[in-house]
Amino acid sequence: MKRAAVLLAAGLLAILSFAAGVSDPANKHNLSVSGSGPMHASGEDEICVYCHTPHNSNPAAPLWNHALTSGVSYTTYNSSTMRATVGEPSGSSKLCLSCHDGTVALGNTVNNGNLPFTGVDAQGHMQGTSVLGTDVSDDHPFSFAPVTGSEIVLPPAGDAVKLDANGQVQCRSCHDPHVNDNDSASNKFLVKYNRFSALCLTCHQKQYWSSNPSSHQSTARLYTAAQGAHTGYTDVASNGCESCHKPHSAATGQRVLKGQEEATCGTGAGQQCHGANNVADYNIAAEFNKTYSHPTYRTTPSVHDESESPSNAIFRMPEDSPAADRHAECPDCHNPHSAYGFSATAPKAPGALSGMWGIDTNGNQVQPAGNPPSVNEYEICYKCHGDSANKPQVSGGPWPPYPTRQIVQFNLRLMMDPTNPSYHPVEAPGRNIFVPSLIFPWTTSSRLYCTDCHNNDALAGGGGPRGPHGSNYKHILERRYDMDAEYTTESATTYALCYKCHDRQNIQDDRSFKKHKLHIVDERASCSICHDPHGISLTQGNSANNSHLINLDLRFVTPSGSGILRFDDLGTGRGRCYLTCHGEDHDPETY
Amino acid sequence: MMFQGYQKNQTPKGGERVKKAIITASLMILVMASSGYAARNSAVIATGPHDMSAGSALNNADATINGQTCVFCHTPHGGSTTVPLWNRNNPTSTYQLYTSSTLDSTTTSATIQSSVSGACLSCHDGSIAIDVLRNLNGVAFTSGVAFTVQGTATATYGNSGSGTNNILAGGIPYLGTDLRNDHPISMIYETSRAATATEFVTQTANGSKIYVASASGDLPLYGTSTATATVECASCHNPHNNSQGTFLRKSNAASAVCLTCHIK
Repeated sequence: MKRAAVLLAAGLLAILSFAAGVSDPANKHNLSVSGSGPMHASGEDEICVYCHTPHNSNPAAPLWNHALTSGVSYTTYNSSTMRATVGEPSGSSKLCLSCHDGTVALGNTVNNGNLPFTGVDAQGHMQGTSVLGTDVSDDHPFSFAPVTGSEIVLPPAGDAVKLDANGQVQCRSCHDPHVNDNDSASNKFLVKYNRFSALCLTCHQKQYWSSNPSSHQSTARLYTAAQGAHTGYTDVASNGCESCHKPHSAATGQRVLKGQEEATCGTGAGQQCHGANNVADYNIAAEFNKTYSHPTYRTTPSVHDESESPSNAIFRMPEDSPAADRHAECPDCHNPHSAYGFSATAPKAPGALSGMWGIDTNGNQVQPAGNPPSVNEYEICYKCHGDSANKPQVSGGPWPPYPTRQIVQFNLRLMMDPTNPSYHPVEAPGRNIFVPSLIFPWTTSSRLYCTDCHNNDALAGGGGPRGPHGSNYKHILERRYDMDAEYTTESATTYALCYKCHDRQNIQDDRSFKKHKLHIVDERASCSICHDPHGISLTQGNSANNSHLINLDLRFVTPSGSGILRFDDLGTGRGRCYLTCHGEDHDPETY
Repeated sequence: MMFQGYQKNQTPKGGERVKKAIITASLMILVMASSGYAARNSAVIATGPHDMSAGSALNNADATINGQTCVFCHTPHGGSTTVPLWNRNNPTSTYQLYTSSTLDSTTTSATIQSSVSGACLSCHDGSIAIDVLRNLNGVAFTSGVAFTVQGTATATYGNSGSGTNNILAGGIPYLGTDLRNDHPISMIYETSRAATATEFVTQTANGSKIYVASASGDLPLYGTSTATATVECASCHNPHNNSQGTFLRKSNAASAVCLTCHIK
């Protein structure tokens, strides 16, 4: 019995370790009449002959016998973030392309004539998904010498992944044409087992991917063929890079994305992980269908480029031209190689935004650091909402109306600056140390995230994904905040956003400004008529006239009878206003 | 002269041995019958492409040769010591050698010149005329034979000395001295096998005979130990038997010749 068990175990091992060589009929490169693939010779029973010949080969190595492609111009891979230069197909790749570009008959040999085939097209050429064509710009690049860097390394000596004799990546670097099942899930002739993208990671060492690790690296959530997976693996972690990337015939050639740009994340065919098929926790794609949203899915393909930076002449971010196309794609805020579930304290961005660069308070590019490796959340927002010359608010679009402030500024980097006369405490604790309305645990030492106000409107009800993807409230606010009418009836809902942190009763008890109740309840003036929520830039305002976020909305406020429009800060709980509003002339009104 | 496949040591038990013997014998009969092994002349050198006496792709009616078949390669006396009873001198050509980034076992021109493959190349590299012989009727013979090329010839021939069509000049049988596009020869098999053990079938020794065993017929290596035996022209080719075409030692159906050594 024991011996039988040992034999059985040995037999199982043999089966498990069995690699289907090229002579196996199941191996699609067995092109002989015995091959069971869709394309094979109609009569020839030799196996090696389609590729190899012992004498008179061309090219000499590796004793090549298949007629080479001629008179063809290839379109090669191009990417704004690739540092190596891709050449015309060379080395072993030319040999592979002699069948796989679909321009030479499969049976066309150097020494054995044109061997008849079945399953091929009328010209005897390969057909189907294995044809790369002569446009190989949607395939992982080949025939280039990698330029190593922090995210690109050369395969270690002895690894199954190899560069050719000229140090170049070729088809052969990833593929073994003789053995189809080194990775038995895909059966794509890979040189080694590619679960968790072990093959890809041989050269690609994406920052944060393994160290965080990215949720995309670690989650065992099901992602099956029915859901669009193309590798044969059935969960996100096992699909690895190929949950999002497709090394051949990619929908987006640059960076070989599996879907068309951001469609890769949520809306592409078979690419609905963050969309309808809910591989991830939430249907993020649906968030963008709300009345107000970042314009992520409104323009596809769009103009985001992975190389964007303040120093990039072509893809400058923040944009320096008012005419530049705007965009807010998933990777503008999220680094898919880094994103993971890891909490942080404001203003530091949490794991979901980790691995993303930003623009700091001084307008300089800042790189992620710390744990989680992230910048401050607002620094990501400043990429677009700071110095960009093409901010939509500048021209009033696309979601008017905005309040028409006495001091006009849409550069949030300037508006939130801690040197300002007043600002909401995002970059630093607020200037005002007397804010009695704050609801515990908020204090005057607290810091805010931008997303404490700008967020999914479903969160107030306790559900849905976090983040300012979309909201049914204007300005992608998390809660309702009425600000566009001359008269607004105060309620817990009309100013729900403000009351999230500022106690409604406390405000109406007039603990700070003595006339709050008079203004917002009795006179039905929105908070927004007097207060500019982000802050007033020191470059435009001053602490005598713009403390307490005072920046009047000129849609409803006009100068006083004597032509003055001004707030004077006279100390804690005291001030003086020159203005006309709701028919009342304060010329001035002092409290 | 034909290379015989070595039998692997088999130690089946009792009745099973008998059964196996019967099956083996039946298979051998079948193989012989289907290939016309015993009946067809192409199975031996006579009238095959290597028989230059008559009826072959290249033949002569030279009075001095007098219809001899073996003489172009062999002599009972006065032959080269490089290859047993060889009636020709090995070539002194400098060869351009096959190179590949994955070739682990290499060789040199000098090694090829003095190898058994050198004997083949003495004709097939086109450097020495077919009729330059060490011993013909007791004296050395230099070019002077007129050969007739038949339409079945796959090579083309030039003239050397006073002979005609007596030296290989073109076609696939003419390898020339540029061996870069030919399967490498005269390289130690073990060097490659040890470097990529999963890619090559392990060679076997039976006494001083080294071979790579295969169910479809073993193929010989040349040398006296598994550590040093080399792949030569004659590992794949049997110059005396063209029954399989291109003088292969066995049928290459399903690429059996290639896959005897290569695991792909």
